[in-house]
Amino acid sequence: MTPLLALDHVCSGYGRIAVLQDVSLSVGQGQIVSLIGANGAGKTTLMMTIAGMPRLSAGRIGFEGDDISQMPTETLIRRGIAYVPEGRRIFAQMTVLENLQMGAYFSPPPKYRDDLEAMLTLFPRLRDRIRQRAGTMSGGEQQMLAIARALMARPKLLLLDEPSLGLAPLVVRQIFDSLVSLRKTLGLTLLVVEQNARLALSVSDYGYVLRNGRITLSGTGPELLQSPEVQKEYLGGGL
Amino acid sequence: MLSFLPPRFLASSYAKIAGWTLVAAVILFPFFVLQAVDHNGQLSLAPMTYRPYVLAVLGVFLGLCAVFFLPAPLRALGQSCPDFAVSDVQKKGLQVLLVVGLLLLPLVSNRAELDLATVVLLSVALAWGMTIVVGYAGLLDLGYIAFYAVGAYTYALLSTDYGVSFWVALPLCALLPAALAFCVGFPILRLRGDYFAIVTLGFAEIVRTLLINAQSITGGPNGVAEIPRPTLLGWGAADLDERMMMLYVLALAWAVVVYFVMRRLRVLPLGRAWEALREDDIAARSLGVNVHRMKLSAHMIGAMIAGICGAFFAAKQGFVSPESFTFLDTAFLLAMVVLGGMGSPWGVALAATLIVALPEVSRSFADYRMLFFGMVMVLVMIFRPRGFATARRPSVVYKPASGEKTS
Ligand SMILES: Nc1ncnc2c1ncn2[C@@H]1O[C@H](COP(=O)(O)OP(=O)(O)OP(=O)(O)O)[C@@H](O)[C@H]1O
Ligand SMILES: [Mg+2]
Repeated sequence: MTPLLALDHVCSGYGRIAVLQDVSLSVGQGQIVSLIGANGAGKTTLMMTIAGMPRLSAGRIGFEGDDISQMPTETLIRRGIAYVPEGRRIFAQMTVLENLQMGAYFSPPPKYRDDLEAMLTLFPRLRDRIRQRAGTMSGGEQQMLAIARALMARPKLLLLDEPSLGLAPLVVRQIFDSLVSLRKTLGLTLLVVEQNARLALSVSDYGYVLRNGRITLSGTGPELLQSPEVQKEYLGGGL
Repeated sequence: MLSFLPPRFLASSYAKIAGWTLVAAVILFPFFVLQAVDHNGQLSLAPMTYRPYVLAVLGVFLGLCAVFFLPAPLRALGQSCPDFAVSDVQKKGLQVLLVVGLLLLPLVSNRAELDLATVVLLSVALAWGMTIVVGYAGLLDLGYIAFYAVGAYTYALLSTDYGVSFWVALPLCALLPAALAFCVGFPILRLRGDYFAIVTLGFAEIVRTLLINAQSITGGPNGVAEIPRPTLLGWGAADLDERMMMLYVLALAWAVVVYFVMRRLRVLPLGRAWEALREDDIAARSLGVNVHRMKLSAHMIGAMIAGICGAFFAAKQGFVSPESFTFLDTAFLLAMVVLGGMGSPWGVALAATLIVALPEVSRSFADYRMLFFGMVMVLVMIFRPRGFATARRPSVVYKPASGEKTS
């Protein structure tokens, strides 16, 4: 069976700066796959390349079997890829509701109403703050909003770039729990970039380690958690 | 550099006032004093017109004095000045009152007043058009006046050279600027912020220079005169009074149309996408907004509105020349948009009315327009840095039971 998302020997970068070199990975339907790596390893670049900004310079990105590497970003969104950018990037001046509406930019109206209710049920905090200006919410609430906004487009694949950035461990836990439950209820597939390797790998089906723009290691969640390299570099030293 | 001055002076309000006045003097200099004009077919610098320049700088100076020497309680009052908090009912009431007032105006005013009211209405409509581009889409278009010029000349030339009637020419006056906005915007909308502003500024100067130099077509610096006045199903042809009345009604109707277009655009997906990309273009793109197409659409819609305003302007004046489309006019327009609070129709309308009407109300005041202008700019930037009307109203409200409703 072809995986939902497959990167084949992808190279990418910004102008002349090459960041990703020969990256291959695949994400199966309904899986949670995490990507870990040090600062500057190219994780964000990888996510952005999948979303079409910047474009790859070599290789192929397959989504549901089709080559999507030359498609404009908005086509990708329509085909079911949603991207939650690093650092949340909610629309600060707009209210929570308006942010969620922006997420449903391409979603036809009848679905929109149900999706909105579903999101407000999933993240009850957003319901309490529906009229609030998004910029005045706490970091955790903003992250929930960013995720909910991306989900409003009813994606098949959700790309999440560091959802735990600057959040308390408890909130991170909550967010991951909602993500795992989303996979169950919506059949969502997730590709997650995380600094919190232990948490990410513990809920993942599969994981990749990115170093200097190359995949150096991959394996199932438990395998990676056991591997000496991961333990040493991403789980805070030996034992 | 200034160390020969005593340190106590340098730290004082006097030094700050002097410093900022100097900055204003330097920045304003090229805009007021160095203006290219046509001189028997050759472009040269305009004869030095220092008066408005000096007055503007003086205005900045007085504004700064007011700020620094205002007694503390007064200053605090200014800073804490609340937003115009009007309830929805009050707002509806005010709107009805305003419209009734505007409709009754022709019955109670003389020719000059009616003429001024028409000019104000057209300026408000033009400033609203620019608000769509600058305030909604966040594109600092310093060449907006060029589309106004193209609209005005389109009607002027079509009617004088080819005898095309106003109503037939009007769609062209919208389409031509829009097409131009497309051609110009396509390459330059990829530029960011300041670069975009500079290129559009250059574009407006190119258009103006073309109008001056393409003498055989546009009449050069002399412009186009004796532009036929429009009639509305035969109304407006009888005498001057009737014509003034009709032009006023047309301008009012057009301003109302632009108002509703603006209001509508804000709650449409298009307007929301503009706002989104203005706030964060990466986030907007990740949600599937085609940034380039959105910017292009804002640019083109703005150009259409400017074009029609231009046609009305040409029809009202009966005469157009390149002099009406200088950078100074753009600066005034921009001032209306910024003073009004970037996205607020009523704030912009208020600012436009003040800027256009005040100098006309008293002729002696006109001389001091620049003085007033510099002063107001400083005061507004200090006390209401985000313009007259700042509160952003949500475009949609959540209603738990029945879903939500657009306001
Ligand atoms: N817009 C850009 N232009 C040029 N270089 C860039 C750009 N964005 C990122 N880079 C470079 O690409 C490399 C990878 O950056 P990237 O943001 O993908 O890292 P990351 O793995 O997401 O790091 P972090 O964990 O800190 O978010 C870095 O060396 C960075 O300096
Ligand atoms: Mg990153």
